[in-house]
Amino acid sequence: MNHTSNLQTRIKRHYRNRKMQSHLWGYFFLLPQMIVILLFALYPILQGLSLSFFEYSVAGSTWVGAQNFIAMLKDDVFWIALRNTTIYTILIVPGGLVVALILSWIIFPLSPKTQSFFKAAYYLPSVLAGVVLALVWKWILDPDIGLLNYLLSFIHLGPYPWLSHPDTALVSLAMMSILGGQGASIIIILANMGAIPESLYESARIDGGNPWHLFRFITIPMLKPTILYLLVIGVISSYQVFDTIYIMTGGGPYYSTTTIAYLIYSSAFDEFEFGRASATATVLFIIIFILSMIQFYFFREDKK
Amino acid sequence: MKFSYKMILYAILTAWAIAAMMPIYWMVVTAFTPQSLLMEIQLFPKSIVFNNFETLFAKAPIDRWLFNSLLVSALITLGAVVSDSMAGYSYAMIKPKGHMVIFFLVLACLMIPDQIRIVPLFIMIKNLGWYNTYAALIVPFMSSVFGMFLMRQYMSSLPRELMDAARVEGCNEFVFYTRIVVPLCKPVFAVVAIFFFVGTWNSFLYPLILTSSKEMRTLPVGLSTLMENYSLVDYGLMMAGSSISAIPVILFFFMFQKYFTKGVTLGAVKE
Repeated sequence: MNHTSNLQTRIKRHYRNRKMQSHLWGYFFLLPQMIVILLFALYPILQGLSLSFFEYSVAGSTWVGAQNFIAMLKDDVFWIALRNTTIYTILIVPGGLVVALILSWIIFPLSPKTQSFFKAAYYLPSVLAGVVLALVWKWILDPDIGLLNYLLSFIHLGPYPWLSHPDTALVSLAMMSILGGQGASIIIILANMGAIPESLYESARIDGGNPWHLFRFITIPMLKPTILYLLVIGVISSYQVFDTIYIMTGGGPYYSTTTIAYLIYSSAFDEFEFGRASATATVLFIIIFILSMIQFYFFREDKK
Repeated sequence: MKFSYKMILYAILTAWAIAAMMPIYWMVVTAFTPQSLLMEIQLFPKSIVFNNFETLFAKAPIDRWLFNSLLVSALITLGAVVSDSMAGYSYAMIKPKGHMVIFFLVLACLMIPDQIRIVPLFIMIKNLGWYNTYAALIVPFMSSVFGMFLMRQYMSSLPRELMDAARVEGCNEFVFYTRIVVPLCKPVFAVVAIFFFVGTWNSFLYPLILTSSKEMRTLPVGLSTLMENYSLVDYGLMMAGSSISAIPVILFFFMFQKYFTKGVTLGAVKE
């Protein structure tokens, strides 16, 4: 009797030790990533949020309450940047999505070889550095000797000022982004289109549905989660657009292409207003968060 | 009738493909066009010259920038693949106590825009004395939540029996990870590595704020410093530099197209 219970506790202890050991191994494997994330992501993020309430100087920061936010809200450039970023997002995210859906819908019935050719062609611009694309487009959009005005002159259009005029600069940036930026969306949409059961289309065809009906009443509803995903990702990245602005316009002319991310950069590294830059970044974070939540709300599966 | 309808659709596809690829073509053409001929636009160049590249190498430390980009991209990729796969393995297979809490905490970092991080990171790097060094360009970026997420997803699909069998054989977690998990995860390693390499090769904002001297710039940042002001740009020179940055990734893309496509759809496609 005594002997068996002894054995039982020994077995139990053995398993407990094994389990302990396994936990320790688990933490060991998490360690390298945790160190990097804690030190260089989580800590700076928290510090960034708190810096919003301080006036920074090398000697030491002083608490200024909401003053950075008040100064920011009183600044016209902040509101211009917010408006520019929003217009840019409205132009490129829904616009890009419509283009990507149409192109995917045309590509989908083609043979796998043709499909992968077009996928590669549309995706290729996305592998280039933002800086490189921006430089090339700056050259193409040059008002005097740029390629685009040259091509348009054949059909008696232009010349347009593109980036050099406040009325056209932001639209030019949006056009460039829509033209080259659909590759990833198209690949994702095509992959999800492939998962829609063929039987749905067949029964709709039997009921006399035309291609538009099939697209409108089967493809689009079935792609709802994909569309939501692309919208959320698109809005998040478009609200952070920076590289192209920095290279192509520097926020000008007359602040017409100053976006929030560019404003944060320039208040931090041109004016060295670290507190102010952090306050603006905090607002950007809140905006992105709210927009993502709104999108999730409207695209809920169980929406009645 | 049906024929012409299809023709229109094909025409749309082709026109859009030409428009999407035209900038790349124009970049390469301009890079090989003599400076004096830039004013008269030639869609198909009559002669090819290397003048722009010669000027570029004489004017800027392009070889140093290339080296910097290569070194930084390679080390970040290596670090990220190791740390992401280790973490992914822990979340997917060991599941130590409290792993879900840590997982969501880490995942939350993905939602937060980079802009919040740039100022504190800049201050921190300055205080560490890392400003304008390789450490600043590499160490903070050696791990990624997204890469870990992909790794975890892939590893969760490995059969559990594998691990039980290895345990019975008295195999510890480290041996199991290096001998069994890593070889089985080669495809996802390739995807994460390729994405990281290209992403770092192309990255701009962080190298821009964390370096200051000509010698420490990476290729994209170095190129941007060649623009003296916004209206006066030597495009032949800039397109030569852009080609040097772009052509390796374009070749890379054609070699590993399968992995690029996989990387784009991983996590975005329900399986």
